[in-house]
Amino acid sequence: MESLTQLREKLPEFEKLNVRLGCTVQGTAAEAAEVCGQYGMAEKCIPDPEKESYAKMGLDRTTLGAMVFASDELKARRKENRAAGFSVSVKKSFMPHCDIFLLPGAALVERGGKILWLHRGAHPGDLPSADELLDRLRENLRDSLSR
Amino acid sequence: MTANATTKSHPGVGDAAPDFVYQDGAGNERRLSELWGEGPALIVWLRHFG
Repeated sequence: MESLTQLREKLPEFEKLNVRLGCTVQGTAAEAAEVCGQYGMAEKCIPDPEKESYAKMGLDRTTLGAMVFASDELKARRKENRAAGFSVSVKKSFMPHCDIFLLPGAALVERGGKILWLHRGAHPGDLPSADELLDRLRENLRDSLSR
Repeated sequence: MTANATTKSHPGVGDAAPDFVYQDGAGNERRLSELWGEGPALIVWLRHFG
Protein backbone atom coordinates (compact mmCIF):
# COMPACT_ATOMS: atom_id res chain seq x y z
CA MET A 1 0.00 0.00 0.00
CA GLU A 2 2.98 2.26 -0.39
CA SER A 3 1.32 4.34 -3.09
CA LEU A 4 -1.86 5.06 -1.14
CA THR A 5 0.15 5.88 1.96
CA GLN A 6 2.43 8.24 0.09
CA LEU A 7 -0.47 9.93 -1.68
CA ARG A 8 -2.39 10.39 1.57
CA GLU A 9 0.62 12.05 3.16
CA LYS A 10 0.83 14.47 0.24
CA LEU A 11 -2.87 15.34 0.03
CA PRO A 12 -2.33 18.89 1.37
CA GLU A 13 0.11 19.53 -1.48
CA PHE A 14 -2.35 18.33 -4.08
CA GLU A 15 -4.94 20.62 -2.53
CA LYS A 16 -2.54 23.57 -2.69
CA LEU A 17 -2.28 22.97 -6.43
CA ASN A 18 -6.08 22.71 -6.68
CA VAL A 19 -5.68 19.27 -8.21
CA ARG A 20 -8.30 16.66 -7.39
CA LEU A 21 -6.92 13.21 -6.83
CA GLY A 22 -8.53 9.93 -7.87
CA CYS A 23 -6.95 6.55 -7.12
CA THR A 24 -8.32 3.83 -9.33
CA VAL A 25 -8.18 0.39 -7.72
CA GLN A 26 -9.15 -3.00 -9.04
CA GLY A 27 -11.68 -4.06 -6.44
CA THR A 28 -15.41 -3.65 -6.05
CA ALA A 29 -16.89 -0.65 -4.28
CA ALA A 30 -17.11 -2.67 -1.06
CA GLU A 31 -13.50 -3.86 -1.33
CA ALA A 32 -12.28 -0.36 -2.11
CA ALA A 33 -14.20 1.10 0.82
CA GLU A 34 -12.78 -1.49 3.18
CA VAL A 35 -9.18 -1.55 2.04
CA CYS A 36 -8.75 2.10 1.09
CA GLY A 37 -10.57 3.09 4.26
CA GLN A 38 -7.82 1.50 6.31
CA TYR A 39 -5.50 4.05 4.78
CA GLY A 40 -7.84 6.99 5.15
CA MET A 41 -8.29 7.12 1.38
CA ALA A 42 -11.78 5.69 0.86
CA GLU A 43 -13.06 8.95 -0.62
CA LYS A 44 -10.21 9.09 -3.11
CA CYS A 45 -10.50 5.51 -4.34
CA ILE A 46 -12.33 4.68 -7.54
CA PRO A 47 -13.37 1.03 -7.74
CA ASP A 48 -12.90 -0.61 -11.10
CA PRO A 49 -13.44 -4.36 -10.64
CA GLU A 50 -13.76 -4.93 -14.39
CA LYS A 51 -10.55 -2.93 -15.08
CA GLU A 52 -12.47 -0.91 -17.65
CA SER A 53 -10.57 2.31 -17.12
CA TYR A 54 -7.24 0.45 -17.12
CA ALA A 55 -8.09 -0.92 -20.55
CA LYS A 56 -9.28 2.46 -21.83
CA MET A 57 -6.00 4.04 -20.77
CA GLY A 58 -4.03 1.31 -22.49
CA LEU A 59 -2.30 -0.02 -19.41
CA ASP A 60 -0.52 -3.25 -20.23
CA ARG A 61 -0.16 -6.49 -18.32
CA THR A 62 3.23 -7.76 -17.33
CA THR A 63 4.25 -11.42 -17.35
CA LEU A 64 5.00 -13.91 -14.60
CA GLY A 65 8.56 -14.07 -15.90
CA ALA A 66 8.98 -10.30 -15.59
CA MET A 67 7.80 -10.44 -11.99
CA VAL A 68 9.87 -13.44 -10.95
CA PHE A 69 12.98 -12.47 -12.89
CA ALA A 70 12.72 -8.81 -12.01
CA SER A 71 14.61 -6.20 -13.98
CA ASP A 72 17.26 -4.11 -12.25
CA GLU A 73 14.81 -1.20 -12.34
CA LEU A 74 12.10 -3.21 -10.60
CA LYS A 75 14.57 -4.56 -8.05
CA ALA A 76 15.71 -1.01 -7.31
CA ARG A 77 12.11 0.15 -6.81
CA ARG A 78 11.37 -2.77 -4.49
CA LYS A 79 14.51 -1.96 -2.50
CA GLU A 80 13.48 1.70 -2.22
CA ASN A 81 10.03 0.69 -1.02
CA ARG A 82 11.36 -1.73 1.56
CA ALA A 83 13.84 0.88 2.83
CA ALA A 84 10.94 3.30 3.25
CA GLY A 85 9.06 0.71 5.28
CA PHE A 86 6.63 -0.33 2.58
CA SER A 87 5.95 -3.78 1.27
CA VAL A 88 3.39 -5.27 -1.05
CA SER A 89 0.82 -7.43 0.66
CA VAL A 90 0.70 -10.81 -1.06
CA LYS A 91 -2.66 -11.48 0.58
CA LYS A 92 -4.18 -8.30 -0.82
CA SER A 93 -2.57 -8.95 -4.18
CA PHE A 94 -4.68 -12.07 -4.54
CA MET A 95 -8.02 -10.50 -3.68
CA PRO A 96 -10.80 -11.75 -5.97
CA HIS A 97 -10.89 -8.80 -8.34
CA CYS A 98 -7.18 -8.15 -8.46
CA ASP A 99 -5.11 -8.79 -11.54
CA ILE A 100 -1.56 -8.82 -10.23
CA PHE A 101 -0.17 -8.59 -13.76
CA LEU A 102 -1.88 -5.31 -14.61
CA LEU A 103 0.54 -2.40 -14.70
CA PRO A 104 0.05 0.95 -13.00
CA GLY A 105 -0.31 4.38 -14.57
CA ALA A 106 -1.10 8.02 -13.93
CA ALA A 107 -2.55 10.93 -15.89
CA LEU A 108 -2.91 14.64 -15.27
CA VAL A 109 -6.14 15.84 -16.84
CA GLU A 110 -6.97 19.50 -17.18
CA ARG A 111 -10.41 20.96 -16.57
CA GLY A 112 -12.62 19.77 -19.38
CA GLY A 113 -10.82 16.49 -19.92
CA LYS A 114 -7.65 17.01 -21.99
CA ILE A 115 -4.68 14.88 -20.94
CA LEU A 116 -1.72 17.10 -20.02
CA TRP A 117 0.66 14.39 -18.89
CA LEU A 118 0.52 10.63 -18.96
CA HIS A 119 2.57 7.79 -17.57
CA ARG A 120 2.04 4.14 -18.41
CA GLY A 121 3.95 1.73 -16.22
CA ALA A 122 6.53 -0.43 -17.98
CA HIS A 123 6.97 -2.82 -15.07
CA PRO A 124 5.06 -3.57 -11.86
CA GLY A 125 6.94 -1.01 -9.77
CA ASP A 126 6.80 1.70 -12.40
CA LEU A 127 4.51 4.21 -10.74
CA PRO A 128 6.13 7.55 -9.90
CA SER A 129 6.34 8.36 -6.21
CA ALA A 130 3.99 10.98 -4.79
CA ASP A 131 6.85 13.50 -4.84
CA GLU A 132 7.60 12.72 -8.48
CA LEU A 133 3.91 13.10 -9.33
CA LEU A 134 3.80 16.48 -7.62
CA ASP A 135 6.86 17.58 -9.62
CA ARG A 136 5.15 16.56 -12.88
CA LEU A 137 1.99 18.42 -11.82
CA ARG A 138 3.88 21.61 -11.04
CA GLU A 139 5.71 21.48 -14.38
CA ASN A 140 2.64 20.75 -16.45
CA LEU A 141 0.27 23.10 -14.68
CA ARG A 142 2.81 25.91 -15.00
CA ASP A 143 3.12 25.20 -18.72
CA SER A 144 -0.62 25.00 -19.08
CA LEU A 145 -1.21 28.31 -17.32
CA SER A 146 1.47 30.09 -19.34
CA ARG A 147 -0.17 29.22 -22.68
CA MET B 1 7.65 4.89 -19.52
CA THR B 2 6.23 8.34 -19.91
CA ALA B 3 3.97 8.41 -22.91
CA ASN B 4 3.99 11.40 -25.16
CA ALA B 5 3.06 9.43 -28.22
CA THR B 6 -0.38 8.00 -28.68
CA THR B 7 -0.60 4.29 -29.27
CA LYS B 8 -2.98 3.27 -31.98
CA SER B 9 -6.13 3.00 -29.95
CA HIS B 10 -5.23 4.52 -26.62
CA PRO B 11 -5.21 8.14 -25.56
CA GLY B 12 -2.06 10.19 -25.34
CA VAL B 13 -1.09 13.67 -24.26
CA GLY B 14 -3.48 16.21 -25.80
CA ASP B 15 -6.27 13.68 -26.23
CA ALA B 16 -9.49 13.56 -24.29
CA ALA B 17 -9.25 11.42 -21.18
CA PRO B 18 -11.58 8.44 -21.38
CA ASP B 19 -14.52 8.55 -19.04
CA PHE B 20 -16.01 5.61 -17.25
CA VAL B 21 -18.89 4.97 -14.89
CA TYR B 22 -18.36 3.37 -11.53
CA GLN B 23 -20.23 2.75 -8.31
CA ASP B 24 -19.01 4.54 -5.20
CA GLY B 25 -19.00 3.15 -1.68
CA ALA B 26 -22.52 4.43 -1.05
CA GLY B 27 -23.86 2.66 -4.12
CA ASN B 28 -24.19 5.80 -6.21
CA GLU B 29 -23.31 5.82 -9.88
CA ARG B 30 -20.43 8.19 -10.53
CA ARG B 31 -18.33 9.26 -13.48
CA LEU B 32 -14.57 9.60 -13.59
CA SER B 33 -15.04 12.89 -15.48
CA GLU B 34 -16.54 14.46 -12.34
CA LEU B 35 -12.95 14.76 -11.14
CA TRP B 36 -11.92 17.14 -13.91
CA GLY B 37 -15.24 18.99 -14.20
CA GLU B 38 -14.15 21.99 -12.18
CA GLY B 39 -10.36 21.90 -12.34
CA PRO B 40 -7.37 19.70 -13.04
CA ALA B 41 -7.26 16.17 -11.74
CA LEU B 42 -4.60 13.54 -11.22
CA ILE B 43 -5.83 10.03 -11.81
CA VAL B 44 -3.63 7.19 -10.60
CA TRP B 45 -4.20 3.58 -11.64
CA LEU B 46 -2.85 1.39 -8.91
CA ARG B 47 -1.80 -2.20 -9.13
CA HIS B 48 -4.20 -4.31 -7.05
CA PHE B 49 -4.65 -2.05 -4.00
CA GLY B 50 -1.59 0.09 -4.31
